Order: sequence, then structure tokens, then C-alpha cells
Amino acid sequence: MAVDPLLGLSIGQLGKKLRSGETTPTALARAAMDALDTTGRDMNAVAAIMEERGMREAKRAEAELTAGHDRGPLHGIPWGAKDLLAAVGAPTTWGATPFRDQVFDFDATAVKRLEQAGAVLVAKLAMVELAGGMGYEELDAAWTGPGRNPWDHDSWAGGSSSGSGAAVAARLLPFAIGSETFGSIVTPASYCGITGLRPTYGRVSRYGAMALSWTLDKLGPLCRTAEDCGLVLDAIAGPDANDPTSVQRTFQHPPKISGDQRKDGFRFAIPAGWDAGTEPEIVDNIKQSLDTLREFGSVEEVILPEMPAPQAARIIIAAEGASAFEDIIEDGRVMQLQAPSCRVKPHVYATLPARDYLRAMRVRRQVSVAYDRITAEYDAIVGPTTGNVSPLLTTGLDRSSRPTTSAPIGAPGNLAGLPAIAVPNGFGDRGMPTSLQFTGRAWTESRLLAVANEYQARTEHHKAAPPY
Amino acid sequence: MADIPEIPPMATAAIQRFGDRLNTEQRAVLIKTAQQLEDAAEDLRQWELTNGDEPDTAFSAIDGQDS
Repeated sequence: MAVDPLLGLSIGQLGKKLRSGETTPTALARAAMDALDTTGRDMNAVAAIMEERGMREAKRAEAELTAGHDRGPLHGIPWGAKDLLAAVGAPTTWGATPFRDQVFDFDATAVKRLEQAGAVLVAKLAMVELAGGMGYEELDAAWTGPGRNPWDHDSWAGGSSSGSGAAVAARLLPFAIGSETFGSIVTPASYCGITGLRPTYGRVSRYGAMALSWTLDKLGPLCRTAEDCGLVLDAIAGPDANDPTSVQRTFQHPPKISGDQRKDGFRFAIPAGWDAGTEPEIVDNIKQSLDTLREFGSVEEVILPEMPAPQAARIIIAAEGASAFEDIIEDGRVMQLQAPSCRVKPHVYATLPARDYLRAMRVRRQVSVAYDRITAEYDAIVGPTTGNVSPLLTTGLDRSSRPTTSAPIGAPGNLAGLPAIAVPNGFGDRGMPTSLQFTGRAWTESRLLAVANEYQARTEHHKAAPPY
Repeated sequence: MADIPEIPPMATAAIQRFGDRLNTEQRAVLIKTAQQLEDAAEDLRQWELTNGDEPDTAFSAIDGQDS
């Protein structure tokens, strides 16, 4: 079945067509659900189609638009939720067999806020089981099967927000919500060639989202443009009494700053040694991206401090994950997980000494202070989002040396709760997408979106569509 | 005599507690995982901390009342 080309438009473009009457929320919802049910399932990107809820929300959005009640830029736009967000109308399986029948009778705060913004929830999207927190090494670690990449079905969509990445990249949905504990938004964004925003820790309420690591989990949008990411973040950001880690901080959208408005342009830094272990095509693409950034700012090299951030992240995720999933470890349901590695590793995580966890958290404070000082000096630290393109599904993940995200600032960025945005910047090995990442000081999403907007205004990479 | 690799304490604890679920192959994965965690923890132990370096947790009393 051919996918409706309207679904390939940006949120802003779709909004114009909705308001001009060229399409309707029900037509878009129908097209999205049909596309997800066919192409989406081919890619193992779908956990559930939300037929009843989707059409109900679409009809309401349509009636409101007809009556002149406009809820804003997301009104009538179909979207998909990573299957770790509680939503009435479908099971919330967390990607894991032990939770295949789990049903919640409430909506996660992010889901509720998007509904209030008029967006139309049409599907729960596939994910790596338990958001990858049990240390998966196999790329088929989900009850839905391996997340396939729309650019090449034999390659991986990335994880753990695999369905969110694949569905948006394949033009089945204008946007999706994913989550990141350690690379799970920016990695699928990189591998699938889309734009992914990891907000500052605490920017978006996690109420109703599966907990893996309470001190690292973040929710954020996967879209095709930075502009769209800003629209979605604007709808879901803000404090929530149900999530004590969510805070009231200013998020200005649209961003008020631009390269033209700032006299001296933006100030970027790239970590020394960023290209070590990075695929040569990715190195070339980043160098081209740096040339583009120099059109509207300066780029200088920065020496990042050598700190055991990846090690601290590994310990923290293992300890908090073992606590979050203590029930299935203790009662043995962990043995039902898809990936053989995930059936074993949690048993070790459950024995991690408290002093090692606390030491990791003490080191983390030092990492946070050091990276606050560094990021305060620049508008963004830039570099490759991942040092490699999407791997073939026949391979696995080697976690022996470094955790998932291979960006030079990936581990400290997540440990310190810093925001980051990944944008497509070309193609690499096997014709697979590559990605440029901007990481900023905490709470500077507006500035990151401004620089990403500026980058995308000068490049065409984000407009490339997969052949699928 | 060949050296017998030392089993990390975390692996010993995990096998004691959950060993009846795990076959030989799984126990090997378990030991490897424990060693990786032990290596990470050891790297952190090498990082200098003082008594004043508090963990990055944010405990606060829930509510209460001024009096």
C-alpha cells in the first residue's frame, strides 16, 4: 500500500493544509494508521494501532477546527507514542513479553498534554524491551522483533526508541515521542536520518512513563525538523505535580535568537579527538557540517576533561534498573525477555553494592559541575551523534568497552542531564544516514533549536526520504 | 598449573541467589557481566573523592509545616 505523501510534510506544512481544508484530521489519522498497519508493521515499528482512540480524537479535532476552536500547531496532527507511555486505549507493554498484557487506565502526562494540544494519538510504537536497561546485546531485543531501518530493512533502526525513529523516518507519522536514558532518542534519530531532541533532565514530566533509571530518564520528540521538535517540546514541557523531578524553567518557542540577530554569530566547540574510532565517511560529513556552522558562527576545539563518565553511567543504570525491575528479577519473569543477554545480566545488576552506586553518584556530581562550566562557554558542543552508521541486523552490540552512545559528550551529557539535538548531516557506509549532534548547557533547548534551525535552513539532509 | 580466573564477588552473589535458573552458558555471561561492572566500579574507585563530595541525589523533605 502506498503511503499518503501528506504524511511526509512537516507539522507546520500539515497545519496549513488542515486550516485551508486541503486535508482533515480524520483523513490524516486514517492515512497514518493504514501506513503504520502495513509499512510500519513491515519494519516492526508498531506495538499497537489505536484505531478507536485515534479516530475519536481526530473527529474531535476536526469538529473543533470547523467550529473555529484552534488549539495550536499540533491540532489535528497524528503522532505515535513509544510503548513505555501509559495511554488509555491500548496495552503498554514496555516492549517486553512479561508486560504484553499490561493495561493502564490513565494517560501519561506527555500523552495528556499532547491531547490538550489537539494532537491525535494513533499508535503505540515498538521499543527495545525495558528500554534496553537490561543490557541487551542483540538487535532483536523486543517482542515486536528487530526494529528495521527504513533506509535498509536489513539494518537496525536504533534503540531503544526504535519504532519512533523508523515511523517518523519512513514518513508514516510527522512526529513521535521517544525516551532517552542513555542514547535512546539520539541514536535512532542518527541511524534513521531524522531530528531527535533530548531535553534537559526535568524539562518533561515522566509521569506515566516506564521507569528504568529515575535519575537519567528523559522524554523527547523525534521529528523530521528542529522546528517541529520545538513545537512538540513546547506542548509537553513544564512542571507536573505527579513528577517531582519536573521543573518550571523558561522554554521559549519559537527561539528568539538567530545567527543573523547575534552580532558575533554562534560559538561552537568540537571536542579534541572527536574523530577517534569514527567511521571515515562520518568524519568527512562532520567536517562539511563544521564548514556550514562557520557560515553562522565560530568553531573552536575544546579539550574535554577525562572523567569516568561512561563507567558512572553504567553503574547507575544497572543499579537503578535492578531496583525498577526488582519484581521480575526476583520472581523469575526476567527469563521471559526476548534477548538472551537480558535474561542473565539483571541477576548481576541486582547484586551491585550500594557503595558502588553511591560512588558513581558522587562522581556524577563532579561530571555535572565540570560540564556545566564547559557548556557555559559555548552555544553548543558539536560532534557526531554516533561514530558509526546503523549496524546490520546480523550483527550485535558490543558493550564490552563503551556504552551505547559513542558521541564524545554522550556519556557526560546524559549524566549531567544536558539537552542535545541530533540532526541528519549526510550519508555514510552502505548509504546509511549520519548525524550531527549539538549539546548545550542545561535548559538551553531554545538556543539548541535555534542553531539546529539555522543549520537545517542551510542544508538539505533533513529533507531526504528513504526509498521505502 | 593454569591460573583459575577469579570469579567477581557480584557474580558469586548472583549465582548464590539465582544460580538455579541459569545454565552453564548463562553463568558465563553472568560472570563476564559482573567483571565488566567490577571494572567500571574499580575505575570509579580510582577517582579521587573527598568526604565533602556528596552523591548527586536530591532528597528533600516532602512537605511539613514551619513552626
